[in-house]
Amino acid sequence: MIEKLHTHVHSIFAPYISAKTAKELEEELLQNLLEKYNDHRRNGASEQSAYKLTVDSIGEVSELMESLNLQYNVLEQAINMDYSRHRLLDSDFRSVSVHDGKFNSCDLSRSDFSHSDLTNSTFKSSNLDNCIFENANLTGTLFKSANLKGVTFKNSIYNKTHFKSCNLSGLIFDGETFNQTIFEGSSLKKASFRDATLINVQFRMSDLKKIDFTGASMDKLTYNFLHGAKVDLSGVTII
Amino acid sequence: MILKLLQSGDKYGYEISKLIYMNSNEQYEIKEATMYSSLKRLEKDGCIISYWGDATQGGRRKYYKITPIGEDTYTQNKNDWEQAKLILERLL
Repeated sequence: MIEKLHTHVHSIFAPYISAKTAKELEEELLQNLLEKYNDHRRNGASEQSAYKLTVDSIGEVSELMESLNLQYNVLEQAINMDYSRHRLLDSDFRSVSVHDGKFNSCDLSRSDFSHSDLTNSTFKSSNLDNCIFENANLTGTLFKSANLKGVTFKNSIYNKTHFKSCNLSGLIFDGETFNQTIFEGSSLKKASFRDATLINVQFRMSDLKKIDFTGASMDKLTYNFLHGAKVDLSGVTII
Repeated sequence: MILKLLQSGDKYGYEISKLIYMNSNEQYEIKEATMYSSLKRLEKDGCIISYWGDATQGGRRKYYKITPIGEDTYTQNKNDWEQAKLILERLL
């Protein structure tokens, strides 16, 4: 449980790890939480219960981050690093700029990338189970052989975004706008693109069974490609 | 509350939250995030200063100490609270 507590606290500060103030606050918080955990144990709580009480006592992580008072450029510098092969479950990457970030072979389950700028970042062989990408900038971002089960995409920017060998079955891209996006060797079975806008989007060697384009708008090139792949385009508008 | 607790001596984070919990008859538990946010704000305003203690009990502790500005702020806040309490008592 102690190790689990270490991991939990570290995951909170992982995005800011190269900032001195964040390192110090992580050390301070961890020391106090360990003491709190031990107090709960001494008072008769089980390991599981003591862990839960301790973690719950942290409160709002956003409030904790605000207390760091990091300057934007410091934060940007802190974040611009290689996270490959890290275990970063439940990480908070909201509103951070991660240009050229490397998240390869990473476990990022349930992490939140809302409002983040992930331009030219790579997610190769990463576990992104139930991650949130709301209002994220995915320009030039590469998702390759990544687990995207249960991922939420909403109001994101897909400019030259590349999904390669990914399972996107059943994911919802309703109302999104795709520009020069490439879906390559990926499964898009039962994926939904209702009311989406697609400009010069490629679906190379992807499984498009039961894909839903109801109300979608697309350029002729994208339309022709999908038409050739025998996708139902009855509710589509060509722009 | 934090300034009041620090008047009786320097304290570290968990010590402060534990004292708030105990002094409130275990009715009020301050969340860590709220406490650190308050500590950082007080430090920024010059009301407290912090320093790292020696490595004891398996890890370092960061202590907080009240400054003269903090003492004045506490007195002012207490007076403001007494005044507000008086008004509320008259109104209720």
